[in-house]
Amino acid sequence: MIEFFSPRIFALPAALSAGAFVVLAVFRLGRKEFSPRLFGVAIATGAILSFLPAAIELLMQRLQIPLNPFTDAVIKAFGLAGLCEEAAKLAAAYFFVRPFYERRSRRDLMLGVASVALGFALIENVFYVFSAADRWPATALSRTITAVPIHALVGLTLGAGLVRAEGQASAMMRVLLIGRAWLIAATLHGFYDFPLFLGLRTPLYPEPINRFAEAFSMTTPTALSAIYLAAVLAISLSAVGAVLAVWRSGREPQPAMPPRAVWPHWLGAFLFARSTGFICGGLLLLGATAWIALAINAAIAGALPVSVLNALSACAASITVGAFIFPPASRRAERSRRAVLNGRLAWTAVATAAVVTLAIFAGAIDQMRRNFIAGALVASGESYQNSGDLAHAISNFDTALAYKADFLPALIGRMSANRIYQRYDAALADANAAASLAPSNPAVLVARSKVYEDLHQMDAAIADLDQAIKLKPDDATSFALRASLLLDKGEFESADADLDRALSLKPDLAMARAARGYVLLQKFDYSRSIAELDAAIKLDPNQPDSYFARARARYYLGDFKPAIADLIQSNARAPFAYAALWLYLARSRAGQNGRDELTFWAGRLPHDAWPFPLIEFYLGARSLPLVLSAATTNDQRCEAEFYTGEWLLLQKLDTPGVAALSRAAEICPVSFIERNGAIAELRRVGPESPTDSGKAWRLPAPTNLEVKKIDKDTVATAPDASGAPIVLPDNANGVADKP
Amino acid sequence: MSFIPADADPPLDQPGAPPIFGAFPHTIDRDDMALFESGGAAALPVRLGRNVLSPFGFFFPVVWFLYKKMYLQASAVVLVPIVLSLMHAPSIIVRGSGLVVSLLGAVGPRLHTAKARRIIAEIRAAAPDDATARLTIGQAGGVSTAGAVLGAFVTISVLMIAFAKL
Repeated sequence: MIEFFSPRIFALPAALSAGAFVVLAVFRLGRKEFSPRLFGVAIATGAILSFLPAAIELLMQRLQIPLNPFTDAVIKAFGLAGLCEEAAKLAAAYFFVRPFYERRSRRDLMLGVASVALGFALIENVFYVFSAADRWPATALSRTITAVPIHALVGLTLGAGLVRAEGQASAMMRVLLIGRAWLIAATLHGFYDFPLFLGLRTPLYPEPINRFAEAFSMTTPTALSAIYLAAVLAISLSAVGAVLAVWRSGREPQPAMPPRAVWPHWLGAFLFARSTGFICGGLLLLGATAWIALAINAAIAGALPVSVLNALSACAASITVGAFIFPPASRRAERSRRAVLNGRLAWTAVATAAVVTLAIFAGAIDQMRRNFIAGALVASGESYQNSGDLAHAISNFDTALAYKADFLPALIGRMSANRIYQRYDAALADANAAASLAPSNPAVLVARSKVYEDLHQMDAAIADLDQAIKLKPDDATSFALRASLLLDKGEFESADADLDRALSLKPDLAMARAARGYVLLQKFDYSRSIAELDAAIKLDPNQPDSYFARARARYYLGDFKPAIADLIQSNARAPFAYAALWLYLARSRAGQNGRDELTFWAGRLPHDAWPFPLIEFYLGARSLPLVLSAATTNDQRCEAEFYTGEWLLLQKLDTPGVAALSRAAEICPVSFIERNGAIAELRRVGPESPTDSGKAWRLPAPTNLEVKKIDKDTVATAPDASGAPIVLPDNANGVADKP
Repeated sequence: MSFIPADADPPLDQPGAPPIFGAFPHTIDRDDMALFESGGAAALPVRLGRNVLSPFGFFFPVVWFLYKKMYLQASAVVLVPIVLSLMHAPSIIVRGSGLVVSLLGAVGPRLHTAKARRIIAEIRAAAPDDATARLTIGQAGGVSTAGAVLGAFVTISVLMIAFAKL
């Protein structure tokens, strides 16, 4: 059924209202002479022809031409978005707007092309907003201030090119000038989309853009933000230049037919009123300026400096549209002395009212400023956290809390960073503070349950999820999370029941299908686990955990190349230390070099948090004893035993490897992937076939890993099954050879 | 100067004139309609008064409407079914909208005549003199071959996208 009572019903008007300010700018630039019927035709034809580039894009997708990421981004930005989209707009402008009987002047043609671009952008907007699912308000808002005005501004540039071509007597010159206008518009459009397409590849940016960023001593995201800002500024300046050029090209002869008035009359009065320009233009200009000022303030407070670039990029197009709206929509008539006096009095009254309003609402304005800066700091903290810089992330969250002590996202963000640091007590303190601020917020309870899970306080974690489910009984996600906790406790039947409930509430819940895949993985039923994880990935291709779990299942089955592909997908979506370690192992098993890739990921992971010592060990920067000594908790010891055991197996040192894996299987909590992995590996290499229930993987092996130092290098020795020590080779400081 | 031969039907404002889709206002005559239909070209043997259903319009409404320069109707027949499908309307409504679109294309000639009447009346009311009015009527009417070609491309594109989503 049409969701008449769902908030999503507002998605369509939200997508369409994105062009309101552009419409206002077009009519005010038309100065009461731009025909509303021409506007309607331009919007309609722009909307219709938007399907042509969409079909070409679809065709390209179907062809599946193998391209490297950089070439792919270039073709998508300059070819599909630039040339194809601008060609569609040009066709609509040339064949429908230009010959329309109410198109009477050069200015009409230019504004008509801008309107074609607006129609095109609005249809594109409808598709983007509807495909954004629950994120449609954010998508609609962001496209309102960026994509929609950008399309219209590029349309002004294209229109100015058509105007220039129309003035030529020679047909050849007309064709050349139209071609030039098309290429300029396509280039501007392409430069706007190019950094956006490259940004989708985070963090695996193509090498040329990495080198470009290095050449300017910038990080790649900063370089992309700079390119984006340059493109938006170029488009805005080009549009301003186009408008000024057409305005200065001389007054055209008065058309014989009178201009068509906007109907209804009150709408016309509103569009062309001086106060409309003053209020709407001022709203855009002041809003954009305030945003940029606040971004600068946030950067001074410690947020990522790139937030200022992003604010400028987001606001430049809106500022240009505001500048087009601001001037009077018709020529100023001669005014009497009294009218001038009245006007000055009105301005004085408005200025006084503004000052008084500012004075009265100073507290509220300051509170808004604090809220904005706290929000910017949280966003910056999340960026730092995603790039592995936990210290800066926590500093940002701290500052955000200093600006706004009860800011829930900052508490949750700091909790998340502390979880990565494995500072679970600090994380729990933040989670408790968040829960005391919002005791009936299921999301907070779910977040705290994850901290309890880290602390192995499963009952407390399940209690929080019970409470979350009680507060929101139709939330399938909470059931899926509780299922994963029950799975950790080994209560497979209860976990299955919760997953059934989650899937009955939301049959397309990818998380639930993935959780079922984990259950099957824990039961060593790899083929069915892969089938469930396939389904989860099909439902939500952006969930890194599903790829990671499927990679492990494939690894256990010995399908290393598909496992490598999955681990690359997992890391590309969210860099994760454990996925990076497994990628190294899978590549080594497949006979490939995994070291360079692990070095790459190491640069994007927190260096001062566990399990970074394990990464250092694999990269040869830390010796085996130092890894073992770095593991201070039982969980870390479990992981150290597993990953060093795997490494020893890669070195063909089966006996100490099996010993380490046996210890991992022994000490790892039941929910840990390392326990599952150790058992799977022991089944593969062990002399006995283990069972799920018993400890059959335990070999008659070693009980202790004895480590001692030999010569200058750190060399680990481990007793073999008979108790005789095995001297590890000189490269035992961690660099694995190819098997 | 009239485009209609002397032995043709008398002007519409004369008694006994054949009706063209109902009664025209007295300001609209066959001369203006012929001018509109021919797009301001020289005297063409334009046949007026035929308001039959259009089979071509039924099967290819977008092409027909763009050929006849009926841009708003063309956009409606493309966009309404798509927006309904985006809003997860029941399939019967989406398919029904497709049928409505086809029927709209089929009655296109009637809609076109109604549009011509309206535009001619507007132009005649606003034009300062007869020459300007005739020039503007010619510009407002006629057909667009480029529109038909682009309409065909749009139809193919929409069908491609629809089948890709299946």
